[in-house]
Amino acid sequence: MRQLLIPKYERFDFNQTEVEEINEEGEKVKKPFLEWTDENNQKKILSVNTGIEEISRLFDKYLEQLKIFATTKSALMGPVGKILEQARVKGLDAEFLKGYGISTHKNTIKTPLDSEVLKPFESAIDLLSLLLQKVPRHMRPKAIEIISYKVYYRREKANVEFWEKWRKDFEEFLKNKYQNIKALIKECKLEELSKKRGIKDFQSIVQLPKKLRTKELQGIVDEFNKMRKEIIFEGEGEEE
Amino acid sequence: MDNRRAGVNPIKYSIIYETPNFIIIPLPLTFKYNEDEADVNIILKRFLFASYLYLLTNCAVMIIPGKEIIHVPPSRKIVHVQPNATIKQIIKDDWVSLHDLKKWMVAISAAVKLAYEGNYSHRSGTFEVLTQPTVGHILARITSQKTRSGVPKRVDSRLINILDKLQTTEVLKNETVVDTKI
Repeated sequence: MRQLLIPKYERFDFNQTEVEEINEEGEKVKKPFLEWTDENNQKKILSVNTGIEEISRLFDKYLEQLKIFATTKSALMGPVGKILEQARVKGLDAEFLKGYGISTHKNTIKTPLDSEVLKPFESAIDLLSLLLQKVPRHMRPKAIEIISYKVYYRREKANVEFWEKWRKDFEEFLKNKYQNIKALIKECKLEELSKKRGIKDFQSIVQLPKKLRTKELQGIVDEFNKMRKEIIFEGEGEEE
Repeated sequence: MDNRRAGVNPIKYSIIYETPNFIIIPLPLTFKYNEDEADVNIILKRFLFASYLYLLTNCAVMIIPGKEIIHVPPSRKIVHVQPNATIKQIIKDDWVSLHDLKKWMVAISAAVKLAYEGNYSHRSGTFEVLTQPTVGHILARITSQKTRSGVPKRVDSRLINILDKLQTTEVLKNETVVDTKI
């Protein structure tokens, strides 16, 4: 009878830090799964899960410097999303991925590339290609998916924390600048809106959606942003 | 111990576990919120209730449905989780020890909230949350939902807090606290 060829996949544990290998003498020897030296020259032995954690940390460090304030996942991830897609579809060569990443960075991101931006970016891609080469082929898409969602979570969390702090600081800025809420409403011509939405304190002015801001209020927001020296790209930044 | 009131056939309970600090609750009524709620969700809720009961009374707790025959193994721990094929994917033992109790309590209560926020199924939403690979998956699900006014849902610090708590429990498959050998 004809035998069916069904590929046998060995059970692969994402938490394993050791691998069994057969040496020249034919004996089974245990070896570390992946050795890695980080930016502080510390040697580490990684499993897939800890490797993924390290990669997402490095990518997060890179994205932190780009200051992307977006709402969607693909926009938040910047070039990282595209690099991961290429790693899934095309190949795991580190230089190919770096080149692809740099070109997408130049085309889409306004922050210029310098050594500080490039350092975590390069080491993340090095580790990514090293790790994925050790993961069985059928498990690679899963590992890449996990990396992308981890990076997304870190970015979204940082984004939420940033806006939370921004709102608090802006409220304090308004409190110091104006004696009471009525003076602010009068200067920003918000009389009608305050009747509609029941604006009674500074907090409700801070939480006002961008669409409803008057020119005068927008001017105050811009002044505050200049004072903080925050670069917020138009249209991407604030929550609506 | 008699559950004739609930309309279940009476069972003769033959085992008596001779310890002063052990509670067995035969419970014919379930913790069903919806009619079509799955067993896994109910077991998780029962487990959460049992662990609160443990904290209150400082006794080992075992909640079982009225129809089942009680079997208490000699090596029991703190809280009993009713064995079920699906629940074994996340809670591997029948008994949860004191060491793991806090972790599971935090994880399940976070999962109940997140299942509601992410609009997971009413049938087994809590279980679905606990089987996600990472918290990023749950976050993406929440942000893909829309509010009543049709605007995409935004995440606030309260939700991030809950997600962080779930992440630190390490209940999710691919969430690990980084511990690396040097």
